[in-house]
Amino acid sequence: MTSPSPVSHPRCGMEKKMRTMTDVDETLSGRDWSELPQDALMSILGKFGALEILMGAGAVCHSWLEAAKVPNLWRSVDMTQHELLDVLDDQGRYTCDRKILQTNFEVLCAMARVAVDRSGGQLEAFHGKLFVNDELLKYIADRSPALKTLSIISCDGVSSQGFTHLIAKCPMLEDLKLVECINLRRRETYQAIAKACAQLKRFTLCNLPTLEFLLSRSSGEEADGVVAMHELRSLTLTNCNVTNNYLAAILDGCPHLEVLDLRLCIVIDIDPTLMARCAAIKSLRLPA
Amino acid sequence: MASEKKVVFLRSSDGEAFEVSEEVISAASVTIKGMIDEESPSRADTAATTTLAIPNVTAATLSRVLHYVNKHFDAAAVVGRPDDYIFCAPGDEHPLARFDDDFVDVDNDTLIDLVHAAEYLHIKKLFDLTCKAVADKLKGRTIDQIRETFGIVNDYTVEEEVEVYRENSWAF
Repeated sequence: MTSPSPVSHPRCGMEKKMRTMTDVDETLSGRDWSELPQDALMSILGKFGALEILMGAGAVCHSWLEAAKVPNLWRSVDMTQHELLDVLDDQGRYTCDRKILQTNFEVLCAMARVAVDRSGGQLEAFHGKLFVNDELLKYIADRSPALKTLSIISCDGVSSQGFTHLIAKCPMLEDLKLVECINLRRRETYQAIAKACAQLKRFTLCNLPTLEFLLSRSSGEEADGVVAMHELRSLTLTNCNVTNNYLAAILDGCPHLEVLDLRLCIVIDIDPTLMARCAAIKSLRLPA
Repeated sequence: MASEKKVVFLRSSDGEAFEVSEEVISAASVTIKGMIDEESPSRADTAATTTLAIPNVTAATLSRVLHYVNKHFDAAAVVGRPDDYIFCAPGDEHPLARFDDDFVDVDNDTLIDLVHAAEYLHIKKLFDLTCKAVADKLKGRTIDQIRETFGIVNDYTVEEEVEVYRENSWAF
């Protein structure tokens, strides 16, 4: 069980004492859910995601709100799963009006800021989808020196500049996932990551399959950056153009690599020389 | 070691006494283990059995808790009684998963009593199980739905109301 709660609720304590003589009435009228022990509330709220806490259980009454403010709950904030984010159809087009979308994204950004505030500087993991913008990244960066894990998925509001600002302020980053962020798809972004994130152990880059890529003329703009991420243990690239030389350079530049997933890349002739070079990789997935 | 297993009696808040193996309850409950350890100098090696008062837990809840404890912490029972496993589907990761599901499939009041008891008695496995069951009941509900379903009164002060509304305006 956890240590004594850091947040006290004097009113609850007093009510409890006054009520002991009327336990029978309590039994008849049902238990008082607002008087769950703080340990229990923390444990219960810990089973929810950030959005669920903020939009439901974490705000029903005084004691639950107090429990929902304990920084421990906010070390890892996942804002990728919510009905407000179910706004894309199969083709990746927005299914609702721009104005509504904009309002929803502003609400989500506001919630993310509350989550960051509640972490009290202890935020270690943040996952955001669609709504994240430069302004929010700056807010996170300025308050989260311990950030280790970051996922940004389909966020058109994030620019290379805004992202670079964050990674410069979060030197502890170990696990970075960039999925279909169109404005980050630039050589400078990847170079900046390699330079700023000396501790980076996992890097996942999923690009959109653009026409240029499908015609196999994309330039492999991430190449310079990736080969300079020397501490990488795990690398996943999707829809990147990885040539034999590029792959060889990755293997030279990232000597600790254990997991390498290039399944959705246009690669390479898979020849025996290449396979031999990959022998040290524990989990290797190449295009079929 | 004595050949016969030691037992202790637990007296509920409403005065009912329950017998349980000392070894089993000590493995399960940090609180009761502490009580037993405190008692032991005076007990020495006498044959007298100990009765411990559990003032915060009613007989109805205590009997449920002991049912759980005997299933989960009595190694002899788990290994020796194959009927426990009859209820296991092949996909169950733990032989007692099905038992646990049934155990927390109770009304809200019973569940809350179990949370309180598990917290007071410091039975971590039961505490985690019951908290998860509460969370499952709350999942996907709005603030108003939670308040209504579980009879929680909005007890914010005026200042809090303003602050909560400012911070959580999206939730209302």
